[in-house]
Amino acid sequence: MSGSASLLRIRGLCVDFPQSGRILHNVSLDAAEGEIVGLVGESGAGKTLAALAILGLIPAPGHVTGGKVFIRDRELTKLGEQALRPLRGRLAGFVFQDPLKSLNPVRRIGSALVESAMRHSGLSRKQARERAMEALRSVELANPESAMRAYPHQFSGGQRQRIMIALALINRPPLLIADEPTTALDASVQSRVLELLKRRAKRHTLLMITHDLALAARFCDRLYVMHGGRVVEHGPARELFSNPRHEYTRSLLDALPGRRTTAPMRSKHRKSREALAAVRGLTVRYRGAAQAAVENVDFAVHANETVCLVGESGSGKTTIARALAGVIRVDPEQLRFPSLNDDLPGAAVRARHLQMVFQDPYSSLNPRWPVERIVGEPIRTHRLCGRAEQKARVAALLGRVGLDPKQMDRRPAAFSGGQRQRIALARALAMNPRLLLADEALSALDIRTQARILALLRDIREERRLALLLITHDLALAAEVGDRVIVLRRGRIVEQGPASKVMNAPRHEYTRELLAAQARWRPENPGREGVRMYTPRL
Amino acid sequence: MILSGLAQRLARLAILLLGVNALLFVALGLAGDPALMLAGEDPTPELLERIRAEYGLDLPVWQRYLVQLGRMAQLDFGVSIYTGQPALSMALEQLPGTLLMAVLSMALTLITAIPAGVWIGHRPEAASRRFGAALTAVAQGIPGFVMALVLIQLFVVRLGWLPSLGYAQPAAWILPSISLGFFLAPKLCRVVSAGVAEAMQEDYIRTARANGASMRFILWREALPAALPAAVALVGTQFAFLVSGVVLIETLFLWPGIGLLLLHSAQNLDFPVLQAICFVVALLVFAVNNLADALLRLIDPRLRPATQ
Repeated sequence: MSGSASLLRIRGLCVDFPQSGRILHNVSLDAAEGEIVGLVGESGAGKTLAALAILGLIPAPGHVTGGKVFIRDRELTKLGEQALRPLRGRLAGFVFQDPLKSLNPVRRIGSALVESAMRHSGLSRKQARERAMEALRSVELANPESAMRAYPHQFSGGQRQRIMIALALINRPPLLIADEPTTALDASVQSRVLELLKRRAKRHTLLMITHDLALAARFCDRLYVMHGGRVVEHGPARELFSNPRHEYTRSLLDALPGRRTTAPMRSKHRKSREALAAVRGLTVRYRGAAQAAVENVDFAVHANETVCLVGESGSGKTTIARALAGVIRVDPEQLRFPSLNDDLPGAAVRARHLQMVFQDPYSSLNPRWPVERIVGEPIRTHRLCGRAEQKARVAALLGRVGLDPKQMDRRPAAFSGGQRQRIALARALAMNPRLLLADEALSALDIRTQARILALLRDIREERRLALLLITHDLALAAEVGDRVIVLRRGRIVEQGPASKVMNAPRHEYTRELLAAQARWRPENPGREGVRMYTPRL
Repeated sequence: MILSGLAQRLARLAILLLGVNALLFVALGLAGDPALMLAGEDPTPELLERIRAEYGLDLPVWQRYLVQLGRMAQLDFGVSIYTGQPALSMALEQLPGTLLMAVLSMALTLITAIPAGVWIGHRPEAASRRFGAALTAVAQGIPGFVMALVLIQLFVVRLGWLPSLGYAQPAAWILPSISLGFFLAPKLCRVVSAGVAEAMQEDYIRTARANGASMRFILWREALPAALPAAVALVGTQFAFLVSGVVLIETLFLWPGIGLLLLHSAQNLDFPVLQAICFVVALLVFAVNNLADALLRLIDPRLRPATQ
């Protein structure tokens, strides 16, 4: 806060939930007029809760038990629901993470905007309409006239987030709170929404909540790092990155892709000549779709190597995974497993040698089954061994992925996201596969957890000489762990080659675009955007 | 697109009517010999022969089926065996009475079940709402005709406040409408409350709150619209069952409607009238189902065919 007037002041905020006790401990935070303040931390750190508490929006059983919140020296924490309501949207507007879920699917965009404008400003319907059009124009949405009549599902993710921003700004609040505004969006769309936010932020103070440190570093003036419901460190973004004082901040920075202290992902073993899976001219067209989901795709995966399929949503990467896994039937000529037992029919080859780990560790494990049953399921299905031995095998698998075998009679709900992904990995390894397919298996995880699971994947690959096919939208991650990177766009391969080559000398325009859009912090390029990283102690 | 949709619907209607007709034909064939009913006590064989010849009952089954099918195609259901009047016009004459009751009870259902559902769905975990929910569960368990009997006993017999028969005066409309409403209102209330409760957990409710919307606005303009598709679907599918309720309620209140006529015609094995009534009811159910479909598309934009 260098001289400019304070806009938002939070002092010693505490929030309790009856079941789980205190969730926010003594949180203090300042934002000056026109400043961009970042609130960073992993999921569950209390970032969103702190932001919601500003205007008394803590969800039901939770409540503020201490501390004060001021906006422009007005104390909000002493106001009741009735007094707060007219201030919501007026003192602060919210942009939430998932714009599809955050807009009512059965209401027209126009009606949401107009009602919101009329509610506070005492505008007539006609004036409110004008204001709504103006708001849509200000977020650079094409064709605001027809957008007013449309419903949320008729827009793309990026357009929806623009609409959310228009909705948040329609009552011209001094403070804009953006809670992971780009996490649900594709990389190339992300950067456009961020630029828009930055332009808008010139007239507003922006409180930006994100788990993405690289983004926060580029975007924010000052950062607050939260962990376990507390602010552990705060300061100017540059300083925080060049000279982190708190242990936790350091561990976050160390887990950034490209600077993880884990050893590289490349294999020590010699690369095998023969392909485990060979994809030749793979074409998949869904019924009724005008365009093929995947068209004429060629690549191979060998033992001891990590191949990354990179692309945005709709690029066809999951379709390829589904074809490999046998969920979609394809011409057997287009998909072969040459070095595997070819005398087995296709389905059996897959079951034996190809296993998958999926994106969402919360929905991909049966919540009613104990871990022993989840991990033991493939063993049971394929009758690999008897009951007694099954238990021993499950225990060994759990031990291998870093879980306590004694916990095998607990259910998935008892585990964190990272632990669940370990369970999923154990299940995949139960069949002793040759090819492991991980479909965005790291995307839902926090950065530090991601680093740990990556290290585990690498060790297991080395140990078992697996081929690893990693599907991701994250180019930085692909560059870090992949031997080879395949970039997909609209069902076609635009570029493939060794990871270092694709990242450092991308040949295709689209790859360059993706790289620029992600603009992750990279170790060989320090000082990007004026942020200098500290050197980790080794 | 629209034309082929319409053609599809008409084809479905034709299949529905054929099915209803065939089923009824078989069922009535099993029910008894109408000639015996007409002939009175101790008929002579000659009399029975004459009656059968007159109504075409002496023909082989398949011929009889085809004959009545051909007539139905021309909307000719023959004349009532009992009164001699054209069957279809008898059915249509009773329609207004039934529609009056249906509209009244539907209105009653909507204005009670929807607010009650919204109220319960707002905070389903609160003690008062749980009590309300339990009450609807109990109400759902009481058959509509039992409710009708209780209401008659109380308001007509004991208190003498209301007339129980006919529909000459509006006061007599009250009890039948309430009784019929009992067939649908508790179910509707539960569907609405479940829908509202679910919608209240959605992220867009948080967005509305963050924009300063009042709880009333959130409940009625944000949550209820999200719950309505399920409610409309329920009304659409339950309408056919409501018709069976109409028969019971009309009988209990001696309400001159299509249900009462159905009962009498069934007792007398008046085939032509039964066929005509079923034809009218099938059309009605079909119309309501399609109306519900159209309404669903109006409420939920995601169901509309994609344009652009």
